[in-house]
This record gives sequence, C-alpha cells and structure tokens, in this order.
Amino acid sequence: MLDISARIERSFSLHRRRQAICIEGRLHSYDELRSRSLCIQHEIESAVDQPLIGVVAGNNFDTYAAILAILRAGRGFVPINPHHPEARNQKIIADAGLKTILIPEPRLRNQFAASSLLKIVVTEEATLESASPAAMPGAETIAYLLFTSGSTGAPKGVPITRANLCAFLDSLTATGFGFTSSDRVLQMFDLTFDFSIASYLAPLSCGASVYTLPSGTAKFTEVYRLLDSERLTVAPMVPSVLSHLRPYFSEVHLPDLRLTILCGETLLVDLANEWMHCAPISRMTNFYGPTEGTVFAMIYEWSPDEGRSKSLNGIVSIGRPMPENISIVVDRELNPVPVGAIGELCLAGPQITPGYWLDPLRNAQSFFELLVQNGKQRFYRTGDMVVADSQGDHLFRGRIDTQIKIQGFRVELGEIEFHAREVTAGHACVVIHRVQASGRSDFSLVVENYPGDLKSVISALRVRIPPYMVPTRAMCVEKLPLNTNGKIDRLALRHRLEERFG
Amino acid sequence: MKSAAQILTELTPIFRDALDDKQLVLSPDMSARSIEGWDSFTHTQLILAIEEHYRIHFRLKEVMNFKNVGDMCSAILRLAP
Repeated sequence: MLDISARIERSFSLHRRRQAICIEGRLHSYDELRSRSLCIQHEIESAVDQPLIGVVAGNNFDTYAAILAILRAGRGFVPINPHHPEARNQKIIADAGLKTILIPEPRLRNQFAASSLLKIVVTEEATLESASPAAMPGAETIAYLLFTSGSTGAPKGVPITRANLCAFLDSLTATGFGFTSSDRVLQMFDLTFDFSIASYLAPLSCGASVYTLPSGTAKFTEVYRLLDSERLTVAPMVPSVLSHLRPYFSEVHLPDLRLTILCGETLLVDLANEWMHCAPISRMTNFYGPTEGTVFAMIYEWSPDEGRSKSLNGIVSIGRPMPENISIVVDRELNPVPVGAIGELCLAGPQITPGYWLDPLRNAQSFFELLVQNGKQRFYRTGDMVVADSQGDHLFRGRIDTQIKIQGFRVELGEIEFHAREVTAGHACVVIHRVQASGRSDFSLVVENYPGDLKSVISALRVRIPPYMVPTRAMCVEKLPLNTNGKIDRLALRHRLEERFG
Repeated sequence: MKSAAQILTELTPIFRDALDDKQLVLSPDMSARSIEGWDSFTHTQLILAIEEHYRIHFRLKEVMNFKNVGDMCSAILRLAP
C-alpha cells in the first residue's frame, strides 16, 4: 500500500503546474504547495521526538501546506479550531500530549502562548526550503488525531493510522467515485471534521484542484457561488446545504458537476430527487462513516428509479460496505441478526481506528472480535441502528444512544449536559434536540429548579463548547418529569418546551 | 416609498427573533462575520421571515450578494410594493 507521503510526493512531481488549491479567490499551484510544505517541514524536523504536531487550522494556504508537511515528515497532525472555546482546545492539546503547534495566522499566536511547554511555530516565519525527503514511517504510525464529542463531558480522541488513511483512499478509488487530476473539488468542511479528509487530502493526493469556502459567511450561498463560478466538478457536502438551497432549486443549474457526494447527515429522498434536476450529469452518492472508520465506510449511489424503494421514513439508504470494509448488524448480545431485522451496525476492516486515544475503558465497550466469513475480525460498534435488506443495503433507523448529528458534527447530548451541570453548580440539566420544519436543527436546555439567569448559563456554555453545540433556548422547571421506567421523560420536556416557546 | 432607515427599523424585530437577542441594535454594516449566531441556518430563517413579512421573493443571485444588513435593505427597497 502506497504511504500518504508517497501519494503527496506523486502529486507534487506529476502535477507541478496544475492548480492545487484556491482560497479566497487566489489560486496556488502544486509547485507553490510543495514549496510551502518543505519550508514548514524544515521547522517540524527540529521536533525530533514528537509523533504528533498540532495545527491551528483556518482557511489559509499555510494550514493546508502545514498538514501536508506534517504527513510528509512522517508525523501525525492534530487540527485545532481557533474559534472553538479555549478551554476545550487546551484540553485537546494536553490530552494529545502536543509539544509543538503550528500557527498559520500570526494574530493567533497569543491565544496559544499561555503554556511555556508548548513550542509555537508561526508558519509565516518558515522560509527555508530544505526539508528531508518524504518520510515513510510504519503503517501503524498515526496520520491524524481528531477529537469528537464525548458523553462524559470531554472530547474523545480518535487516532487514524497511515494504514487506515491509505486504506480509505484506496477504497474510495475502488468504488469508482474517486477523484481525477482534472477535477475541481469543493472543500466546505471545518478541518477538525473528518469529512474534510475526503474534500482536500483525497483530491490533493490525486492531483485535483481544491476550492475552499470563505470563513464567516452563510455557507449555502458561498457553496453555490463556488460551484457555479468555478464550475466545480465534485461537491462533497452535508445534506443541510441542499436543504438551504432548496427554495432556489429552480435557479440552480450546474452543468459541470459530475459528482455530488453527500455525507454526515440523513439524506431525504425528495431532496435527493430534486437536486438531480439542478445537476443533470451528476451522479450522487450517499456516504456513511464514523470517524472511527476513517471518513467513509459505506456507500449508496442514488438512483431515481430505485432510491425510493431503498429508503425508510423518507431517508435514503446508507448502502453497503465500501471495498475492503466489512459490516454486520448485531443484537444487544452482539450476535448477528437476520436480514430485515433491526440491530446495531458494526464495522470492521483496514479503516478501523486502533482504538480511542488513551481510553482503554471506552475501547473495551466499543470494539469486539467476532468470527465471520472472512475470519476473525475486530468490529467497531457504531451506535447506529439499521436494517439490512436482501441485497445488502442498509437503512438507518436511529441511534442507540443520545448522539446527534448537527451540520455533520457528532454531538453527544451528555457532553452539553455535563457542562450545563458545571455552570449551574450541579443542578440537573437535560438537553433536548429539535429539528424544525425548515430543517433547522438546534438544542434546548432544561434546568431543574435553577434560581439564576439562564442567559448567563448559555453565555457560560459558549466559552466551554463549540458554537454548534450551544443550546439556543433555555427553560427552568421545578422538577424534571420522569417516565414509568423512572427515566427522564424527554418527550414530556419536548412538549413543555413547545408550550413555552411555540 | 419607505426609506432605508424605515426598513432597518422594521427588520430589527425580525433579526432579534431569529438571533434570539432582544437587545440587538441593527446597523447597515452588520454581517454574518460581526453578529454572533448568524450562521447558515439563521440566514435561511432570516430570509424566509423577511420574504414573508414583505411578501416578496428574493432571487438566489440576490441572496448570494447579501454581504451585510444594508444589502438586504436595498433589495427590500427594490422589491417591496
């Protein structure tokens, strides 16, 4: 299997004059990308004993050059979003054991300068283009470490090895929905979100051109602006972008779009059908995959003829495992269930993470071994409930727990509740997820018997959790209602919220 | 015909409601970059609420060119009866 360093090197040498990346309207060639990467790699090489390097990820050229430099140097990158709460970022830096952090925007230096143990490298100052040749470390070396929402209140680390990453890139190509060097690809994802790997690293390793979304704008209008004005050929998106564009579908015409890649949220049949009229030559795929399975592990190609029958409650199928991936559906005792029966989706294969970062307890709960047709395999429990049909396609039936997907991000309600309890000095808190008719999805906070100001609670949460997790509504109740099983009655709370706020 | 200042006054409660900020004071130069909570979802909600309030329909190209509140006011002035 070709290491990611070799793939990057291949693009650098084969596509030197081609456009690699377009940011805020400025095009950068592969030669420029190589040059910046080598300068940054030179700085990284002084950190000889550090397998992981942090990157304060933003929408700028040096962020992308830094990620390639880290991979080319044989290290792993840990993306950090400077717009996320400082305490959360510091926790990630501490948990990952980072000693060096790359900062592409000099103005952000002070935000990360508090710890004297952390070496800050402002990439702008890296100007010496004299890095070593591309490193080829072991396949089990970590390529990146991402932190996702954790139910205990702290984000959990998911390390992805170079073998995992390359297995994903090869599997994507084998599906027939990979990239070519003539593609112009949309990159709309936050770099702390693993679907971004499919939007920049996968295309850049094939010599394609990546077009990033400007930050601080209403995404759906900018997505369309880029798709239209740059005549993009591949669009990886979350379905909510299409939902926002839907009122304007009659004005949307994208004759150059050859591939629509949807992921991160449930895809509705009607939305898929209507979008295909906007992009007449486009094929559309609904990808599914947890961060633990390296970006995408399952695929369903949308077909107007078959799609409706391959849906459940108006939700498009998540399809079947991508090449080299294995899936099973199990009951509570982890026994495979028959075709057509509901159960938890479990994944195995070369894309599965070696396990959560320094968390043996969670690993024991989330991974298990089972003898299947392909021999003994190590499976990851996704927590997603599905039904498999007789053709092997899977239909999503909901979550086993209280994990929610919002704008593609995974959110554990327990993480919000944990922080809410802390800022209310231990008052019982419940977070309710709501999807409005407009498609907007948000959270409401209910606090038991709290005498303080709930607006202050929301403000305090803003400095602890990322913006997409902050509840938009808050309500106090004298006593949290319980159902007949003695558990918190979330349905009753949902009704009370509607009575209160409409 | 209404003035831009009048439109701004009429937009204020719509923005306050969508952004859940009862103290918000709107000005023409405000944008998604400067107002906390003005994301894609809020943007869609604002557009729908404005369209409903004035009984108008924005074209996609108009929505794409909204850089700030002032641009919205100008479009409303053009479209509103």
